[in-house]
Amino acid sequence: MAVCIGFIGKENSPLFLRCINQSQELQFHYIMHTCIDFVEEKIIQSNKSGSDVRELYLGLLYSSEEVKAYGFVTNTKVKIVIIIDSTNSLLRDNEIRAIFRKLHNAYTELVCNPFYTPGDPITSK
Amino acid sequence: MSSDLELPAELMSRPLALVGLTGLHVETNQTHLLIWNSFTSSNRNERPPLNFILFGVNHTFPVAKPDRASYEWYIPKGILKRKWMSKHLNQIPGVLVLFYDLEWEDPSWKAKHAECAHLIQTIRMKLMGRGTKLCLVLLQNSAPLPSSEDILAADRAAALCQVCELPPKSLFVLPCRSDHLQGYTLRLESAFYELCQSSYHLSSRAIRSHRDQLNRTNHGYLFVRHQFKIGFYHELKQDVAMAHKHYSQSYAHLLELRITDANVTEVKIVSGYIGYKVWRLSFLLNLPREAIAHFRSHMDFFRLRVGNPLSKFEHHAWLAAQFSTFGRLFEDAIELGLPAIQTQHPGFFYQQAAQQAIQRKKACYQDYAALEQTAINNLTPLFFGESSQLEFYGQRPWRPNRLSLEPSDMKTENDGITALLVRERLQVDLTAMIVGALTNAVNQFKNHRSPRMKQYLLVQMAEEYCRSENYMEALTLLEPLLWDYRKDFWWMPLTSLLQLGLRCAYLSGRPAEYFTYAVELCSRVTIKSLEEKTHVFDNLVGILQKRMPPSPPDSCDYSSATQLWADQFASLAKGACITTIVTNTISSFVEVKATFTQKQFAAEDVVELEVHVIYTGPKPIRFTSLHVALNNSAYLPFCQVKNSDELEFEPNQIRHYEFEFVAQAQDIGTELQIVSVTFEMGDELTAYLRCEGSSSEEFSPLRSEFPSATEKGLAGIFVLNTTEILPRTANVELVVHHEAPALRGECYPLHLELFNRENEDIINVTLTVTTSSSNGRVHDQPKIDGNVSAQLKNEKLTAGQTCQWNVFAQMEQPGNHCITFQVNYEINSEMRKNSCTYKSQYVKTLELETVQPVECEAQFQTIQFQPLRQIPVGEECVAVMTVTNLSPFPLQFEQGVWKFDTLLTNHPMGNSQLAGLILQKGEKANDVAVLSLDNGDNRQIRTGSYTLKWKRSNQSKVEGYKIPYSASSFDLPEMETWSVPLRIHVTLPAHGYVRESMNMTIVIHNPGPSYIELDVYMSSNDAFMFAGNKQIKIQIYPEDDYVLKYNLYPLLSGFVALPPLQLKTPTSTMDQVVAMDQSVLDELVSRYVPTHIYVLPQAKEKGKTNLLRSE
Repeated sequence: MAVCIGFIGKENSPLFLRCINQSQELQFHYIMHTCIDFVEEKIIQSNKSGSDVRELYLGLLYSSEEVKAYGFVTNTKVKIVIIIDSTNSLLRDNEIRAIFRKLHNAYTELVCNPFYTPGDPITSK
Repeated sequence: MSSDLELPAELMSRPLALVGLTGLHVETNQTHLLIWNSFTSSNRNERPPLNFILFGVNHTFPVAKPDRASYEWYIPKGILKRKWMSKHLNQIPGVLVLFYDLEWEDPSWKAKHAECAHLIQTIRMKLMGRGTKLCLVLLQNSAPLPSSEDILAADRAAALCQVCELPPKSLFVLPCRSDHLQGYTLRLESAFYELCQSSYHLSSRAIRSHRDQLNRTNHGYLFVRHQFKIGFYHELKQDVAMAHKHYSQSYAHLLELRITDANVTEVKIVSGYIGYKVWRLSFLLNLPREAIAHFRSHMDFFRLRVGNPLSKFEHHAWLAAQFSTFGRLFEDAIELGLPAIQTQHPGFFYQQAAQQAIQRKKACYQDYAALEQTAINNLTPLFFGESSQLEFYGQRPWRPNRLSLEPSDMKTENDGITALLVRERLQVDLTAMIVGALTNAVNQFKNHRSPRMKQYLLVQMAEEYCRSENYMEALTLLEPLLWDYRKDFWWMPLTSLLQLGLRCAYLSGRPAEYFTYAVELCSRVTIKSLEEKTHVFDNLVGILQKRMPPSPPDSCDYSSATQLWADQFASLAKGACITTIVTNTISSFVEVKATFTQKQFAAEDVVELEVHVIYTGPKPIRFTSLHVALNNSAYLPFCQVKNSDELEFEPNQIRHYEFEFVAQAQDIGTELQIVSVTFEMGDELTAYLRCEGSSSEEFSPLRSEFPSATEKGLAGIFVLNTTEILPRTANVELVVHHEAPALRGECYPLHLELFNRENEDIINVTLTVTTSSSNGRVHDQPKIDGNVSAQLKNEKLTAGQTCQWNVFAQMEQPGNHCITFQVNYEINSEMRKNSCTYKSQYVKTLELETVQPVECEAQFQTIQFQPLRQIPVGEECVAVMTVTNLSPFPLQFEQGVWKFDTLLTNHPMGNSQLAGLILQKGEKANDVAVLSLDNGDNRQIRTGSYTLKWKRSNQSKVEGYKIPYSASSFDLPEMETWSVPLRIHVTLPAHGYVRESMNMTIVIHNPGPSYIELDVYMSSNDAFMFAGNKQIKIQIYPEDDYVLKYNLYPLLSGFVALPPLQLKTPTSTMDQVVAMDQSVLDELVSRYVPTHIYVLPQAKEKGKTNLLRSE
């Protein structure tokens, strides 16, 4: 299970962040913020390659001693980041992809809600 | 242990094969010094990797331990011996070289070669048990001969080798008098290098041979040690690949060891050392992935092996050392050209090193705090012993040379670690380590395009500074970081940083910073509970009443902070300003939008300004005053609120303020701008919250930095930060009377009428008339010349009155021209009970059509009004000018003035024929001048020009002005001149009568300088009978005439043809006579000689008399 997931808006503001351990929320905010570096770099690289159809899933952003971060960018430049524990070897690439798909679907449904302004922080019940 | 954490220098240096030189007396012998220098001089890079050491002849080398016959009962006490590496790097050479002065022809050869053999033997004894190879170098003065020719040398060399028990390959001769010493030493060096390699190879094989005698249960340490040694020997012989292999094996053996609490420190230290070699060589062999993978598994293996729970700090210290070591290796490799990527670079390792260092500090402080003072006092100096004195790496000073597998005495163990802990806590600068590691990491992340990671590290650095009570540094770091997190709306990190800042500001006694951070913490973006915010808010208000904020709950020593605050408050006078916060760079608890109500205000209108304020703090607040600063400070009194009742806010309350004022005269035509909105709060001490805006964007909701302002309350308020003060609208009317179209070049009168429709008198009225066309001119007098603009003035114009002017325009080109009339005036007007003078402006543009007035066409004609193609020399001719009136108006001409070229002589006629003439539209008139060309030859000449002065005949209505005549100038056509070769003058009566004879005289004149011969023929025709020469050959000298006389007798009446005259050039002329072309002659004849004449019939009576006469 991921330890933290986050949605980051296209202007790099946090939209939503939820982590398992509430006491570490601040730390995950910091980590999530650093993930933008890697996401941006990956986007630049995929733009350079010039293919029209961009893969939304960015793969592993970086791994440190404690955590691994995976990234995903929607076509509207909303970034989704999943952070898992470094020791967690259960989650393979395929599982991560599946989680991203679900999160993306959830976000799509949210945007379809006429009462939600894109770019606002997301609140969840 | 801490000293073993740092890698020993002998481990980190690149091992070089050691060559010992002996027998060189450097101090006394100049030649020897030269030789020594040639070995050790520069350019080491291009030479074999050797390290030279000079030994004295009597130097004693470390004694080798005798080889163990059997390892059966041997149990090693440690893994790696501390001295072994440096011994092989600096003390025991791979090759020892003896230098000896000996010539082949030396007279005392026998004695010397015996001495030499003795020396060799002595050295050999000293190095007993080592793999060191011996060499002998003979220093000779004579130049060497090719060995095959020098039989004596060959014999003696063989003998020497035999006596010294050296293989022939180990004997060298060095001609030390040679100029090429450097070349010889180079060759010697490569020979030594080869010998070294074989020497180290032998040593490593010797070690390998022990292997069979070892068993796994007891000799685990030896497996590690031996492989390490073999690896080291290979490194000495520069065989990197083999060295890497053996180090890796050594490392693998290490992991197989049984690790207990007793030996865990040693194993960790040694694993770090061996690991260092493995990683370094992996990078050297360009296997970075392997290095990283090896390091990762290394960390995974040891991460949780803390050992004694008390030595947690040690474990973290070790981990930190591992990470930073690897980071440095990685960085070195990158410097040597290894490409790094954003997700894999030394920064991550430095970051981990910093993390571990932080953990280390935490563990150290925690454990130290848990210690009892008595335990500290009971420590004996033994426990503080230096681990660097021990025989093996990584062992404990209180447990030297004990078999590490023995169970240890817990009491001693704990006391020892406690001693280390005390030293760590009191003597080691942990902050510097953490900051150092973080700085390294920051540099790496900066280089690898990770600005946010860098920010995160800087946050950690600031936190560390705060912990180590270096508040100034912490605050300096914090300032830009706050902005970084704020601009992307990461409120939770921002909140945490603000709290950190608040704490630093509190502890370092800085009210201004404390106040600023508190203001931002109280805003609604920060993620804090209402109580916390209320608490901060109370402190903030307290500061303004010189009340020190209460200490943070996690109490440490705050007495110094209390003193600092007291000093700060004492230094501030009552009402002094502690800080001015620019609120639109932070997320403050007041959000302001200031706007003008319109984009433009007319000068006579009241300028309106609105300020909308939303307060989002946790508790009600009362500001002291509110000022709106514009770019002209004169309006300040109109734009402020001083009544604090109006400045009282409940949380989330919105208030609107409206200000109005009258623009000052000097601001008319300029832009007014809202510079800032400032709130003042506090009375004991004051603080200002200022919202600045240099451009309208600053306040605009489009600016995305602070969406908070747009979310509620102030959303949808569009901000006009600047407004333009327009000049007063003019209320006058200008009417232009004129008679279009204007004629080109004419002095065209425009009659202007200005009507004052204002309610007041207007003064200083100025009318400026300008023409935009470059060919147009305007003047206030009816003059032909003029300026591009004219200015007309009137001191005062009463309300409802008109004033009138005339101006005159002159257009040099036909077409449409624009004329602009600009009326400026001043008016005194009462605005808001104070009289003010306004300037007003009224502009009108007139488009004026201009047409060509006359057309003139010039022609040259003979005196008989026959058109001329050329102007003949020496004859009179006529210039005719046909003038046509093209304008729609009748034109009156003053005169036409001919101006001929100086070559042409004008025969003046008393008055111009056109003078006073009036032409209606489309009518034409001719003007004629007679002229002659006195001399000249055939060429093109400019003939001159014609100037016609004219004006409208009906121009009457301009009172008081006399309109001058306008002049139009025309160029006369260019003509060719023709010098006539013959001039023929025919004298003939104007008319004749039938049957009445008349005389015709033909004078042929030769104007040229040459003699002419001509045949003249006069043919008869029906109309005349004539008497005279019918055919004659004539000769005419230059400037001479020839006269032909005829008597004509007309036979018919009417306009009849005269007998035709014909001139011909004679066929047989002499050479010098100018032959004239027949066509020229014909033309001359046709031109001068009349062809017809009127012949009148006889009158009746006269006819009778004639009849009578004939009878």
